[in-house]
Amino acid sequence: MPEPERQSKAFVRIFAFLASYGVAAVILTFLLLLTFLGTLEQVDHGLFAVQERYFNSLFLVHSFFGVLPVPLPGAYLLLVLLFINLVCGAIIRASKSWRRPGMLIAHSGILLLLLGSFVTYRYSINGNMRLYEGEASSEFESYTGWVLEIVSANAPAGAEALIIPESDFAAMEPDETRTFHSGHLPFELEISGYAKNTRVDPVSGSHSMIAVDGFYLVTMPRAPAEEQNIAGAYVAVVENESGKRHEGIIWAMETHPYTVEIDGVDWAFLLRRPRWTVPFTIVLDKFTMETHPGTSLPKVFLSDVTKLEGKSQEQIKIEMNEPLRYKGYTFFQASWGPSDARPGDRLFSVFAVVRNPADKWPLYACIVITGGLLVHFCQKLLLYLRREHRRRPAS
Amino acid sequence: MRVHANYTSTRVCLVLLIAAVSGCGDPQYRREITETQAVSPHRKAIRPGATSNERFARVPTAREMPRTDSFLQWKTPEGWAAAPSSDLRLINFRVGPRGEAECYLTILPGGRGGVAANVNRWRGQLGLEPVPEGDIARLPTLSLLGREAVFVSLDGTFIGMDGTAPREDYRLLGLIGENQGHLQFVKMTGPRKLLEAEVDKFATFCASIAPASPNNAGGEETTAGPGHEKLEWQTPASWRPVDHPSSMRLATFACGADADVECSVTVLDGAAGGTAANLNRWCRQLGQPPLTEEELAALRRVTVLGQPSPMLTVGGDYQGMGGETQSGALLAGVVCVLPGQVLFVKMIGPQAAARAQLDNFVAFAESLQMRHSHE
Repeated sequence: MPEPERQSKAFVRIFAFLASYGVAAVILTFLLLLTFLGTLEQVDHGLFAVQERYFNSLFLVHSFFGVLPVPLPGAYLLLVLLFINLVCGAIIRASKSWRRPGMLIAHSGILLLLLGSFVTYRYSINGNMRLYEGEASSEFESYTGWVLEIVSANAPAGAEALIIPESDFAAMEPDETRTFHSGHLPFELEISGYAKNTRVDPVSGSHSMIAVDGFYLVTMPRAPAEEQNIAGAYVAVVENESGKRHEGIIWAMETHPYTVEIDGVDWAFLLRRPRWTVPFTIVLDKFTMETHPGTSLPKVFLSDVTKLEGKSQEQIKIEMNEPLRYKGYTFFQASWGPSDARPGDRLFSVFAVVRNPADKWPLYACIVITGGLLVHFCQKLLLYLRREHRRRPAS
Repeated sequence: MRVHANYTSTRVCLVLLIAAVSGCGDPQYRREITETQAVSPHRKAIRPGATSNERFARVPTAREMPRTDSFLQWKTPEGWAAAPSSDLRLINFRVGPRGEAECYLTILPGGRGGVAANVNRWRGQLGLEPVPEGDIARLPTLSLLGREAVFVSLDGTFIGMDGTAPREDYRLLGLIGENQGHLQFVKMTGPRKLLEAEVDKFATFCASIAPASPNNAGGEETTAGPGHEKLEWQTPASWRPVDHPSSMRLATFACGADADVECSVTVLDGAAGGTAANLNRWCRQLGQPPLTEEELAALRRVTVLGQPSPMLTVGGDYQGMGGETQSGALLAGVVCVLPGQVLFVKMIGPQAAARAQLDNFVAFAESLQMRHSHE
């Protein structure tokens, strides 16, 4: 058989496989299984960890009954395969005849849904903004993850700070040290002993841990709720000129950041949540919270805010299921605090802030799918009626 | 030729893959910082040179804190082992054959959310739904450091704050109240069956906690409460003594023909919260409101050990400290305050049967006598 023909046959076979109903059925079965297993795992490991392991992964190993490890494809991989399967099977291979446009439209809607989930996964950000009455902010910070900010202690607002993202040090081995440098800094920074969940304990008696200034980091089991984890690490600041070494601990819950003075400048090292800026300012004018009589269960909680942008300002009410949507950002009324507040105490309002380029895509996808199915079923109905009409003998 | 080209590309891929994989664990990892972000206008002012103590907002360690026994005294129940104290556990015990239960006293500045919020926090630790404040206000109370404190006994699957695995069939005994702007509580957690047997000791321990007196260095009392005296009594004809696991009880009797009424004699050291608090605790156990001052003053007095002692008779649905319940119960109780001790004589049983034993109960209480052991 000539080479081009053989290649063509192989391609056809691969295409046929990718476009097959069998592959679709296997993928959907795996997705069903992952959803089931992931839901069960959430009980012990929390939402975030399960999402990372089961749904944002290419592969995973699930331990059935705690003793039987079975490798499984992750939902991320399965959804990519499903997308390819749908493109091959339902779009390319499907007949493009005007007699069956409905299914083509419906499948396009499903593809849009899958594409939307990919865009959300890759490009959306979400966090929270916490405001007391009278406070204003144009920033929100992530619920999870950390960054290490290096800045001069007396740098004014708006000055440039250097940022080391968590991805640069999160995957460190326990005995590994990573070095970071910049032409803007008179020192190099070494990070070691990073752990997702830590506490800082004073040294008492003899122990084998690394201690700095009478304290050491205790690595704790990872909390199921990701936002409850408190990261920490050891750092060493090595001066470029003298080679002098300053060692310290950075901890996400510290009251004051670790600082080192080099050539008359105090450098601060802050382990904090990733933070984003919105192109407008939100002022919390009033927060209203009412509880059901005799209980601490909230009946109503809403925030009266003013949105400031340049010289314009707008009064807006944000409450449950009534978010503020503006310039691609959505502000939901999420919670309030402090949790132990008593009548008359000053309260703060917490907004969940989301920026998702594919925010509306699921809605559009559903409209497309609905339209496609309507077209398809109407066509089928018309065909059936026409056939019945033909069959009926003329009276 | 084509096949050869495929092998070449495979080799290149392999080399790249090995290089990439080996790079992951590079001990000489060096990276330039390229990412920047504007300093937040909301950032708190940075204090250069903050000490580690200040940075980690460290509270004094147990070693640096004044010893608990310099300001508190208490009595360690039999079989309880002292555990290291800390800033959060002023008095700390391990309980049980393998130390599987724990009990500790905590005093925190500020309300810390108040009693109801903390009771509901405890309920959450046992996997129970929160209850309204009104329900919590109706819970039985005991005295803790001279203040009324809510007593709770909760069963469920315990999930503590230490992140350890959930522990099934657990019980939490708690006594919690506020005192001069502080939240104080004694909390005991452990396997339910173990705590069922320890509930009386829990109450004894709570009642024994008191400020260290000037004449007493504080800490654990080394002498047994009753001293060298021995309590004696005349047992009514229809009563028979029974064994009871509680070490607090000096005696327990099954009363009447059906033996469905129980009478007990208990001695606690210290003021044990005082007469009124204990009588009101009994009222609450029967679901009744606390006594007014007039009602308290009008109670019948029974002479016990030479002391005119108030006697309470109250009916209702009984809920004991150990979680035991009894509908349509009658409780008769006498509180006798002695120097440094309080004696309780308590009878509980079905209304009709207990009422039939009231005369025997009074006779029994009045028959109590203290004899010195050398007599």
